Amino acid sequence: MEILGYLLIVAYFIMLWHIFPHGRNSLDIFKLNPVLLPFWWKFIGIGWLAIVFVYSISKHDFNPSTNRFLLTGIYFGLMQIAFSKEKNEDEFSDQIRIKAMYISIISLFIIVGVFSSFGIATPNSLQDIPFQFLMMLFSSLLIVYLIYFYWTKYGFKWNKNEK
Amino acid sequence: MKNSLKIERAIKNLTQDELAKLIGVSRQTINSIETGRYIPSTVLALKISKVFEKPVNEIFALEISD
Repeated sequence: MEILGYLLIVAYFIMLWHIFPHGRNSLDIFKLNPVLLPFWWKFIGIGWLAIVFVYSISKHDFNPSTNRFLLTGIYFGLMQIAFSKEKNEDEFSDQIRIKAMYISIISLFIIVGVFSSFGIATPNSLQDIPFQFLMMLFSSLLIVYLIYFYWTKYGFKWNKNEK
Repeated sequence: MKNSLKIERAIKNLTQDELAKLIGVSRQTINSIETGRYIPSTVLALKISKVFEKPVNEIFALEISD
């Protein structure tokens, strides 16, 4: 399991190098282009999630404190799905992606704000937030992002195939 | 902004999918432009005008609210 952890760290660095916006040696935001993983990478993410669930079902363990692979695996799988290109990547998907990310980041700020206020409203209730909670929070943000993205792209009732 | 994309498509007898393939975008993009949910970039508008062989401002027009 430790080796898997190190492999994931390496994988994250490779992903960072791949998906971080590249610009021609410039920090100008208009020259930075988001670089995403190829479309087929999405299926690696889905397969990864399937492995995580099969592993957890086989161990009968869905408790993040005992099953360390659960949250790490879900997060890694969701990252790969979220940062893979669409089959037909165009300016429309670019714009939805940015807006979906914006919505999920806003949700993060609100959730963190609410929890920090809880710390004042009810002292001692949130003394130590475990790292697992943070993982759950970020995984749910990726889920919010993915739902918003795909719902906007495919889910609207008026977005049906038309002759 | 309003557009006459649906009418132009009907004149050329093109489906959303065919038009999308001609200009290299997804069908959902064409659908969203037609329903007014999405305003295309100048580049995409010019590609659309090239397909329909009409100036951009004959396909896309400003509304009073714009």
